[in-house]
Amino acid sequence: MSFDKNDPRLTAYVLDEIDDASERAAMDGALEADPELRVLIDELTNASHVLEQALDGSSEADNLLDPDQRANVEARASMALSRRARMRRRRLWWQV
Amino acid sequence: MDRQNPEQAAWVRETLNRYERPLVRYALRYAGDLESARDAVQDTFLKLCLADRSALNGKLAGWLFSVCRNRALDMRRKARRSVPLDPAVEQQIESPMPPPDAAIESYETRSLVYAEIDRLPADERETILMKFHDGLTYREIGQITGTPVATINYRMHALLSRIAERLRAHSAAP
Repeated sequence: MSFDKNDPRLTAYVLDEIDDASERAAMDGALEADPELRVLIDELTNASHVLEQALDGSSEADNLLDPDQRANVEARASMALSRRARMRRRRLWWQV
Repeated sequence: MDRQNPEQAAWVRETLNRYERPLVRYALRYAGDLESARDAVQDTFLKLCLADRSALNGKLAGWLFSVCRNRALDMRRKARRSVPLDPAVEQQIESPMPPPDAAIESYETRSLVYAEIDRLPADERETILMKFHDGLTYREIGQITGTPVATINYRMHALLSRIAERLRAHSAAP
């Protein structure tokens, strides 16, 4: 398998976006055999790290819900009713 | 008596674990401040608790990000009606770029990355932010934006190739 430098599968490989195991294995094989391809992949990997760092302007904690909010969602989730129960509730409401 | 549904609860928790972080980041772009962004995300997950899981099969990401964006925009509109936004916050909303990060080694490197992103049309910039800022997969981005995965694949490769080329030129420069 050969790859042109304009082949978008190169970036898909770097970003772990290749779902097909055989396609991924083919790329691994091509990388072992082709030093120029390895250089290309290294450059794309570096570019993706630089991009990630440049766009990530907040701390990890800033990207999460407040602990009380998360607890609220989890409490509501644990009270979630089955679909049948929700339908029954709707019917009861309609009959009032 | 109504029966609680442990499967629904587990599904909401699993979704929360997967999408909490990307949704807060995403909401911040629309809400304008972290507190409102978190409120929008909380409301999104509360709505998810009542959603029909089978109806969202295969389009969960699209649903979450759409509900979250609408909620965040509502909050921003309400905030605008009540109290004028701080000009600094306003500028942050209008700009797709977060503040510079000290983790990046050099100002020049950061600048060239921002320059490449600024050259993109708005919809492509949104796609790039979803991938590198929000941490979404191509498939999830496709669900949210309605863009074919092949197009996303092509755009990502074009941008990364340009940045790689500029980094190479930058490191070769005396």
